[in-house]
Amino acid sequence: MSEERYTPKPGLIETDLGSELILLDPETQEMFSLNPTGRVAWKHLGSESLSGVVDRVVAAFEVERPTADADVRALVARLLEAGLIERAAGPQG
Amino acid sequence: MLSFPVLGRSLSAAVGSAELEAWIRAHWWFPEHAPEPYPYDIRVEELSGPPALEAGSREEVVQLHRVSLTCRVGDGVWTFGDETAGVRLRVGAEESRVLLWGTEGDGARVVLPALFLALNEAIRASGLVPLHGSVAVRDGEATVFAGRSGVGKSTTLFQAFRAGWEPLAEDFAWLDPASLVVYGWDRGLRLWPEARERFAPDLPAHLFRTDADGKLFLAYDALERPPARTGTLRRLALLERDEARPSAWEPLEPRDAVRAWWEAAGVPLHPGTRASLAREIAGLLTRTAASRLVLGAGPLPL
Repeated sequence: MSEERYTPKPGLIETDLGSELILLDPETQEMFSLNPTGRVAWKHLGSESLSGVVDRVVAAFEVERPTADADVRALVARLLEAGLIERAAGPQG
Repeated sequence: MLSFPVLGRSLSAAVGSAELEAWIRAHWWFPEHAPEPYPYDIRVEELSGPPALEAGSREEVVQLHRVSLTCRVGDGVWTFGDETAGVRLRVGAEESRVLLWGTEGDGARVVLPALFLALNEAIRASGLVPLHGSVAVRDGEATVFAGRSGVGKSTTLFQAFRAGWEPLAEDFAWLDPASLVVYGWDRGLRLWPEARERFAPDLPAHLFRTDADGKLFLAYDALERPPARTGTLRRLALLERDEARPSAWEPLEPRDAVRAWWEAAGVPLHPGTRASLAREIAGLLTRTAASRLVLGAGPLPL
């Protein structure tokens, strides 16, 4: 089980459309769109470990855990590249 | 003491010069807009010198359309300028306070843009949404024409006017998201001489005056039939110029609609106001339409 944790960049503005979540970085004016899976993952990314986020996605969409894990990890990679999250300091599993 | 309502909010200004009072009136006194009073006070006060520096403040650059302003940011407090001339804005849930100093002479170059931004921010904090775009009304329903600078917001508004729409705003309006009422916040149409030649050669030249930037200004008061000053928001139209395509209305994806709304409204200074605006924009997408209007080959479908 991965205990990796991530923290969102401070100041991001979330426009929640229900099925889709749009992140706006006021510093760069860049927008980042999250699909329904990404929206659920984002809602828990700042407060739970990576494995906890995967649990949330599994519960929300009734998908197989390997699928959810791959989706969440792909999302995290995109968010890291976009500078919207960073790995939290401290022990990582 | 200058005191008048601004879209139902109470604005008072204790400033030392008639010029500054006149500037405030020119930008904020629109007596044709008289909605119900709203419990929010905006107080402007001119000081003889700068206030004490707020502890723990950090420097930030703020964009006001085409102008960048540097300020020091504290907890709900923004300070623009320096000890010789500046503006301090404090935003609260029921009141915003604006302090000014060094307003005369060269100081005005610092103070006036910051004061404009501060008063905008105060009205935002009271729940209204600024709209940078042109607005036209048909049968009481307002369409906001939004898009990047130079895309043709003013020209599109003028074409809508010639097609029978009523011009409500050429560059700026305020939206009450609770009621969807849009309030025009300028005093006439502005367009380049080439656009007048193309779209309105029949309008008498004496109706227009030439502004400092070379644009022609046609006051709403000069129109044969003064247009509506408010409308109920029906649609946000994102303008896109593409001569290779026919002029047409096209659907706008939610992501692009969200971007268009944020670009039209601008990003507030206050984190609480940002969060409120994000909720309002999400709501506006369910209550109003969002479309792309292609400014392409052929006449606009207005």
